[in-house]
Amino acid sequence: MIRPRVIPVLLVEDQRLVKTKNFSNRRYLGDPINALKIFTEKEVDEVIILDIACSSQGRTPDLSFLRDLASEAMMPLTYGGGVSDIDLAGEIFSAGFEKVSVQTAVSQSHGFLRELVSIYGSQAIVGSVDVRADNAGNSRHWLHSVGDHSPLPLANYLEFLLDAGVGEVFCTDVDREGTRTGLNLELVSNLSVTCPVPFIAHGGVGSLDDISAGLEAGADSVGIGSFSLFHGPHEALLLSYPSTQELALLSQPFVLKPDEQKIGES
Amino acid sequence: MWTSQSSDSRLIMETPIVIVDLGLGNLGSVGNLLDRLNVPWISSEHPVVSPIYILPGVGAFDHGIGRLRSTGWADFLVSEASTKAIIGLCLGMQLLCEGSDEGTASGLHLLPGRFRRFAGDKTAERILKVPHMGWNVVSATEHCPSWLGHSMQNSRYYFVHSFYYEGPDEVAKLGETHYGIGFPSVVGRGKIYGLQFHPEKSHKFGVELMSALLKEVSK
Repeated sequence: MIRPRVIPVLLVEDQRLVKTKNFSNRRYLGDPINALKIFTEKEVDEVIILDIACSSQGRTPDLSFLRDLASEAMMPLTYGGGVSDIDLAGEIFSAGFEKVSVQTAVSQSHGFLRELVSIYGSQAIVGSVDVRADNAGNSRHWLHSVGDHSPLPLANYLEFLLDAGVGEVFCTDVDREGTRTGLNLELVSNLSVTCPVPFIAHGGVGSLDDISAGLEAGADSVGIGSFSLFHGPHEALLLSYPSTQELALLSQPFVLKPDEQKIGES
Repeated sequence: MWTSQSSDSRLIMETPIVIVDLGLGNLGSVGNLLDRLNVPWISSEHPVVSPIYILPGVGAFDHGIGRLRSTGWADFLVSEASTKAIIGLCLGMQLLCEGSDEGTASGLHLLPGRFRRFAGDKTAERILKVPHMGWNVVSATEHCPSWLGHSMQNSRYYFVHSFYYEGPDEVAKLGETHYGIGFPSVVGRGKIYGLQFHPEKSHKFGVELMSALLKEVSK
C-alpha cells in the first residue's frame, strides 16, 4: 500500500535557493541545483520548487535553469511560479517536471485552469492555495499577488480547484511557513478529509512528530522546508531528510482495522 | 549487441534507442535515465527506426492518441511491433493497449486490455484519493520472468495515474500493485512492455528495472 509522501519544498529567486518566514524575510542559502543533487542522493519522495520572484512579479521562469534542475532529479518534480499560459506549462513538462503548480493565474482566469487540465491531465496540475488568518483568527484564502485575503470563502476556492479537475491540492499556511511551530492541524483536518484528490499540507513542520500529526489530521502528504534545510536552534544550513525507517513509521493505512483503532484506548 | 562486464553488467548498445516525442512531458527525464545507463538515445517527433522504442507520456488518453496519429507514430509503431521492442511508460502503457474509460479513442491494440478509473471509495474510513499518486511496490505475478521479478524485489516506484489496467490475458500480467484494489502495473507480451509507473522518476529502483528490461529486449 502507498506510503504518505514527505516533500521538500524549495524556494528559488533569481536562480538562488532561499528560505522565507511567512513568505517574507528571505534568506539566501546557495545553489538550488546543488541542493537538488543532494536531495536526489537522499532519495527523497518528491520535490516542489517554487520560484517566488516569478509568482510575485509575474515573470516567466527561465527554462534552461529548469532543465538544469530537472537533470539532477531522479524523483518527481513540481514547479510553481509564473505559470500563466498553456504553452509555457508544456515547456516546463518538457524540461523534466511532472507537475506544475498554479495559483495566481488561475485565481484570475478560471478557463485557464480547465484548459491546463484538459490538455495535460489532472495528474500534472497542482492547485496551490495559500492561507492566512484574518484579524478574527479565521483561516482564509490569501492572495499573495494582491497582498490581501480573497473575499470568497476558502471552501469555495477549493471547490473551484477540484471542479476544474486539479490532481492535487498544495496548501500552505503562510502564518506558519518557516516557523517550525507545527502544521495548522485544524486547517488540514477541515480541508483534507473531504478532499477527493491528494492533499499536501505545508507550513510549519519542525519535526517528524509534526509530519505524523499532519498525516493523522488527514493530509496525504506533507511539505517540509526549514525542517529539511536547517539544523539546530541557530538554523545552520544542513540539508537532511527522514531515513527510510523513519518514513516507514509514518505509513498510514487507508482503512483502520477495528483492532488498530483500539490502540491507546486501553 | 549487449555485453556484460563483471557483476554490474553494463549495457552496451550501438544503435540509439528512440524516445517517442509526443510533446507530452518528461522526455528529459527518460533521457536522463538512459544517460545513467550509458546507452545512446535520441528523441523524435516523427518516426525514426530503432530496435527499441520508448513511449513515455503524461496527460489525457485521447490527446495522447491524437498526437500519436498526427505525428505518424501510431501506424509506424504498429508496423514495427512484430519485430521490435516497445516500452510504454505511464500514459504510454495505456496508449499501447486497447482503450481507456478516460476517452473515446481507440488505442494501438499492441497489448490486450483497457483502463478503468479508480473508484474513489468514500465509504471507507479514509477516502481513496484519486489519482493514485506516490511510491508503491510491484509484486511479481506467477507469469513474471525471473529477471524481471528479481529487479522488482525490495524496490519502489513512483505512480501517478487515475486509470488502471484490466485485461483478459493473464499471461501478460507480470507485476501487480495494490491501491484500494490490486491491478496489473507491469504488462508485457513478446517485446512489448507497459509500465504504469515512472521508472525515470524512481531513483535507482527505476534505473535498475529499465536496465534489466533493456537487456532482455535487446537479446
